[in-house]
Amino acid sequence: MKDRAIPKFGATLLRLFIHPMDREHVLAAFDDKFALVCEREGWKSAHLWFWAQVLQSILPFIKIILIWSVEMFINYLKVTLRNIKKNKIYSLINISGLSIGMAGFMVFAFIAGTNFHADEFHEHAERIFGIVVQSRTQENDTRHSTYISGPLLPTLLNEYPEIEAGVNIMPAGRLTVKHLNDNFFEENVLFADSNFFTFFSFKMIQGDTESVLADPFSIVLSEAAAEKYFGSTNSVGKFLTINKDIELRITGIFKIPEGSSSLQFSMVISMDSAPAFGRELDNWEFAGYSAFVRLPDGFNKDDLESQFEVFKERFIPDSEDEIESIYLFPLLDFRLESNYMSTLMLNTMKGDQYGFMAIGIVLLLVVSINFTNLSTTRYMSRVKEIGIRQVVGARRSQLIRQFFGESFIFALLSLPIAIIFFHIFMTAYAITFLPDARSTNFFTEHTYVFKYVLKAALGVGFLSGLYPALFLSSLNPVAAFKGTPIRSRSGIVTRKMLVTLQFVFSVILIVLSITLEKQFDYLVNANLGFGRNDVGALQIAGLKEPNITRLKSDLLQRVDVISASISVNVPVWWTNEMGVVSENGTINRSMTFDVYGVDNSIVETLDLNVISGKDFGEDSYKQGNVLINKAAVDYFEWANPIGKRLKYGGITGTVIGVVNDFQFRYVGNPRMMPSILYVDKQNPNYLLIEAQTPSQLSSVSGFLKDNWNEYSSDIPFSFLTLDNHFNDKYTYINTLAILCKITGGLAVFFSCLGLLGLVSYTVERKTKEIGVRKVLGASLYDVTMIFLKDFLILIGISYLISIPLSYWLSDSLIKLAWSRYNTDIGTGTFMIAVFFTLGLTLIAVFSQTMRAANANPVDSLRDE
Amino acid sequence: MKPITTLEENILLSIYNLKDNAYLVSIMEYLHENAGLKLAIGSVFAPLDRLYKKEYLTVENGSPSPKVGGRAIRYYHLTDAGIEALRARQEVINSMWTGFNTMRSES
Repeated sequence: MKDRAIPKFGATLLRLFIHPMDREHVLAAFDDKFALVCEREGWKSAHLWFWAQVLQSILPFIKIILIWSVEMFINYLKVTLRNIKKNKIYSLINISGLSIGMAGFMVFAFIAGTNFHADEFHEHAERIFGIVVQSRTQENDTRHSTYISGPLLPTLLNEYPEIEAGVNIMPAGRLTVKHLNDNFFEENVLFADSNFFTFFSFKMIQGDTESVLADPFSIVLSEAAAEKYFGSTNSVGKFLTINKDIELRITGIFKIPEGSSSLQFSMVISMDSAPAFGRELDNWEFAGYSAFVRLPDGFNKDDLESQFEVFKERFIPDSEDEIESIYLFPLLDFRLESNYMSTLMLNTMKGDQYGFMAIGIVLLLVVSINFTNLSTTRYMSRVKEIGIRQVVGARRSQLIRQFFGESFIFALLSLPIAIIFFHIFMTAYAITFLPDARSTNFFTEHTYVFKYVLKAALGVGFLSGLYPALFLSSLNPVAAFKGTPIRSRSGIVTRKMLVTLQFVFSVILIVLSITLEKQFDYLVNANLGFGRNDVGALQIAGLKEPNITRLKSDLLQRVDVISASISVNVPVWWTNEMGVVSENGTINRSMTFDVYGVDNSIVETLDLNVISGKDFGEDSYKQGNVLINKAAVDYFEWANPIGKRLKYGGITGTVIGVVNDFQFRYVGNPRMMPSILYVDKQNPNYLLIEAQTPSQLSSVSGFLKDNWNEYSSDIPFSFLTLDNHFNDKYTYINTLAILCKITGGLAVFFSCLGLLGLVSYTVERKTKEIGVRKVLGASLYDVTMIFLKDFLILIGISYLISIPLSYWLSDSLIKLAWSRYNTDIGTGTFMIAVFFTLGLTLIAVFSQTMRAANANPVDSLRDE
Repeated sequence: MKPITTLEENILLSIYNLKDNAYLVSIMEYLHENAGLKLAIGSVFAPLDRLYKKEYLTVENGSPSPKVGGRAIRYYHLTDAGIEALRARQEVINSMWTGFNTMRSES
């Protein structure tokens, strides 16, 4: 008899695919037929028959399951939509809350995602690598750099045929473009091999991708550049005059994805034209190129790298800086991981991006909590529905599924609205502070934002459904019908915790945004060791010598100008690191200094203080004399620095004076950089002009603009004040503050919503109590205090958690990011956060309790 | 009244003809013998399930029998709606075939 039963394994398998309701009888049928076949044709063929049956039956069974689950889903959808219709205000709050939260998350996901997914738009991006050279400088520093010499790549391609393709590019530095009668500077211009546009996947709007750079003296413009010079993108075939007399033919127009490309450039010139710009192509000594290679599919880059040692020995000539190794760096890692090397690729700090993502996720948490709060508030009115479902036989798992289904449906309904909000926000508002939002089509270029937000929606659906599903499904149906659920106490406690958590998030975000704003203000007014509010910088790169002297003396004759000084760069965000050692010094290892090329009047122009020794002056103004700052003296531990000799970049300088500490570079550097000021006559790029008062800078600028033609006919006029320049450079802090403020505002809004729900719920539950109290003679004040006390404790707890936490977070953030120039967070910040949230709490509590307290006690007591 | 497919029609007719002995296996055998349809159990069960949801069938669980591994066989019966559906189907077939029959008799 036992042999007549279907195989156990087969039965188990079938069970998987049959709905529990039908399992028994379907298996019975299998058994029956199996026995029949067994009798007729024997055991063996019965087995054969059985498995054939299983194979044929599984598909129909799966179909049935699918139909079932679709029907279940449709049922949930119906119930949910019915609920949405029935409680319009509740649903409106819920859906708008969820969509605002998700839209906010999208903004952060966009900011971080742009960096996480940078350069992925290139075809075969995962197989493209940049060539990086690790070298040891004369001062014994290790340097990683993507700047290599020109012949390296061709030699490499020649030696290793397994490399699929390679492209050489070279930043062209600053070029002057002449158009009509005006001159413009162009900074982001590249020379590139002819296969540049086939190697990378930049979008070509006009021109043939294969051949745009094939001929010498061809130039390809970005859409923006074409519009700047010709007013339209239809400019192929026209000519552009660069550096006075080089005529380049425009062969194509490309579009560059802003933000998602780490390689940013406005024009590309064919590499063959480089000699006309004074660039040597076959010089092993000149490391100005960057090269990328593409490896075949499945090829391990380590296999190639291991051969580079030999390659290096054979081909690379000895140079001043000894090359230690050559390695390949993945294109996709440049954005987040290349901070340690010098490269032309755009990069950013990984931590910042995770920070953005974290703020977005906090926002999602806040809206999820909000959803939980609201749905629990409404739980009273749904108790009967749940009770009936339970009575007619819904199992707990089904109820759980139903509530999850509901929250998922809410989340998914909010998704399209969130996308619309996001789009409106980005196009209308974010362009004012987010450069990447400009000229971006989110629907085609940044599709990952949608992937993130879909995941976010599912996450929100899960989180928001979690508490209602577990809590509401565990109701006792009898209690449900009585209307006073037994477990409501634990429900209240959980909700109180959730609201507290929301307030914690809110306070943290408020404190963070205020701190960032203060930090920005602080930096704008920070004393960086030099006077900058009365200084402007005029671009004079390319100006011929007699004109520079004439310009300078003309300026000095004006009453509103105190002094003028020529420098290599603008002393804001100016970094020029070099390894420095002292001659005959005790310390042999080199130390990274900032080395600045200036002229003899820099001390006067920037109001530096000479602490000891003397200023450059007219007589000591000769090559080889340097000023150092106090940090440098401290580093070398010199008692008497005057006359000491320093070696930097192959030059030896004699210290003639010490000035106070100053900070030309980005202020985030954790230590005061020891710096050297030397006289540089080779690169007069800027003329720094100090006016009598900050307001007179505009008259100086006006004078220069009007008379610019007397000094130069082919250099564009460009003047900026150091203050504006500084604010531009640091404005990202403001951006951060704005984003934090918006998020904080939303968090506060949702916290108050949650609080409002909680208050109204408590008030509702205590209506009778209030009635009794009022009958017994309680005043309005007494009644209000009953509730207020509760919520004050609640919000007090949230302050106890959030204030130390937010202090610690903000403090460590600004100390980490702007080490020595950080503002005091101050008690004021917390006062603002506390007053703001407390005020809103009071409004929420009063608005609800007043109604209950003012009600006639008869109404609340009558119904029993 | 929801229309039914040919397979569903055949199944309903099988159940009708099998009277009180209509269950998965017997229906399957009946379809094989009378309509020449060789179907897997699953392929018979799917339309049965559909018909049940359309309320053309009622079910009756038999007593668990040792013959089928101690499991209960489920018997199917037609409901009035089921018979109604068959009638409607018959009418459709009749009206569709009318022309065909006339043509044959003319020739």
